[in-house]
Amino acid sequence: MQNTITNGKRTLIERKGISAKTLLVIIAAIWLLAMILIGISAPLIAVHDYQQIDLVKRLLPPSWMAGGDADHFFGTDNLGRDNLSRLFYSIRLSLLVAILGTVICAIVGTTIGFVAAHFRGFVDDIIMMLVDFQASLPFMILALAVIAFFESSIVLFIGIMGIYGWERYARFARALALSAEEQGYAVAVRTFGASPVRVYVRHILPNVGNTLLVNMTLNFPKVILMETSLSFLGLGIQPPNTSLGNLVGFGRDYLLTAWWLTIIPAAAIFLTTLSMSILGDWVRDKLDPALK
Amino acid sequence: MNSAYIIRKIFRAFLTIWIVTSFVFLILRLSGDPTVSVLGLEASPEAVEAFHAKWGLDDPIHVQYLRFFANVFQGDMGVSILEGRSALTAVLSRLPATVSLMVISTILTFSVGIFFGVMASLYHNTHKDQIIMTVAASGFSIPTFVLGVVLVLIFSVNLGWLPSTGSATWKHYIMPVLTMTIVDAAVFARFTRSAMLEVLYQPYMKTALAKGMSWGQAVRRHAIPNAAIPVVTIMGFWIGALIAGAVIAESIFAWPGVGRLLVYSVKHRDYNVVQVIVMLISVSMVITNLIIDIIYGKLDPRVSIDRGAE
Repeated sequence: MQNTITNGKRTLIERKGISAKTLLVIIAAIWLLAMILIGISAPLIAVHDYQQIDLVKRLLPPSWMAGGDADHFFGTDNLGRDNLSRLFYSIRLSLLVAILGTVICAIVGTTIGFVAAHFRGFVDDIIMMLVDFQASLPFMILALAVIAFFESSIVLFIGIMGIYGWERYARFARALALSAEEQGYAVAVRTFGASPVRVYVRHILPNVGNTLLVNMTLNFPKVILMETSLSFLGLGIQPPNTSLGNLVGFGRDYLLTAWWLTIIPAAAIFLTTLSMSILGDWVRDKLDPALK
Repeated sequence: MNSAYIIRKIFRAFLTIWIVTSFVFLILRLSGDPTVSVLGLEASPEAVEAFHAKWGLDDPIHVQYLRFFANVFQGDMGVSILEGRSALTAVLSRLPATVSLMVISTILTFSVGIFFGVMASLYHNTHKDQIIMTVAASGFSIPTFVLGVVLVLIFSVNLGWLPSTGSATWKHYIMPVLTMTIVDAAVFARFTRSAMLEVLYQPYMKTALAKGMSWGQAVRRHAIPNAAIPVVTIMGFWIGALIAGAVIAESIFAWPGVGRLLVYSVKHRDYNVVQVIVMLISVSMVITNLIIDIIYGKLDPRVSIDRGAE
């Protein structure tokens, strides 16, 4: 940062030649990597079965606090289930839903955007109308409406997350495809006889890939927030499955006696979304400064 | 500004409301025969038939669709299964509690967010700027529900200063309002800052200073009005965030408003109430977006002319 240099004092960070911002990005990346590793290896590293009820050992505090049990590092919940194991499995499910949701959404939204750009006219009008519709209903309300009418299941829920933010991809993909058409290379390969699908997948997509990737990294934390919020309300992931939102939601009833039930998963959500935002900003600056 | 622009915007608003209504009808029909959920699985065939006849479920789908529209526009949106009274009345009786929460949060979000955003831009690249932006960055990484729960933990459980549920006194307002405000104010601060930075270094600012205006005057008369244009555009998105925030805050603090009713109705599958709330929210969002579009057209005359070519 410019003004720290003018102070005349050289901090450790400056001597090493990396800025505070880069350090933050590295920490964020390490945190996310740790979360992903925990998610993948949850069945291996969880000492206890996360659904194992033990009514004798209910609401134990973390092991470092008075009354803690060395066997349960983060204590136990109201049914005596091991918090650490539940945390691992929650991270696993929350990340899985967020990753699947982000990927599905990128594919769906981009395809819709390409379709709008390809057919123009009537099809384009209808798609833009749907984009308007999406903007007129907060996504949380739309998700709640769908959950109200159909029973909440994990497949439906991933499906819902898979359309969260589609309109952003659609609008980007449409605009980028339209400008790609104008640049001539699309016309060139088309005159060689390439099919429309080939033109879009092999030629336009690689050229707009950076923007889409940036959009995905920026969308990812939003999907985590939406998933955990709905699960917190008891309308997302349903027991016996568990997500970080569920943990905070159930822990809320024990704030008075067992704050750790809530604060530990809450911190995990906060740090994960924060890390992803930091990383997303960095990716954006690297790949697509124009988006800023 | 030209009237064709406003007419086009109003037309689009009606179109959007039509789509939302159709969406509600669609998921209502896709989710299956409501007979089972209303009468139960063991209903006699006669009762099922009578129910079908009463609600016209045997009619062709387009007849049902038209009837649904007619009912919606007559304000007849069915009965709340849980409360046994008109779903519309059930929702409207909760509206004042939600609106009061929203009005206070709106005023606070605007004033705090815009104030700190402008401050950060004026002290660009100084410690003040960095502190404001760091706080803002962590502000919008906190999920609303985590914020609400942490506030309860601090102010109700540990300090015992504020009540954690209900809506009786002014003290009850503090935590729900903070929960709804902090995240959005952070977003506004960040956005206002970048909007201000865009305009502060424009040539017209130099001109204003060169002709003898003081820095403060130039900021008030030239920078802020120009920076307001992009800030107005994000208000549409923010209304959505405000509504989602109300749903969460009301659920945490047992606030007797529409948001809590929505969550409760979704849990107990009180379809008609969910339907009314979805319609209510989308109509108010469409109207707000229409107003924003019109304000935007006034603030930036280029928009109302250029948009036609889009």
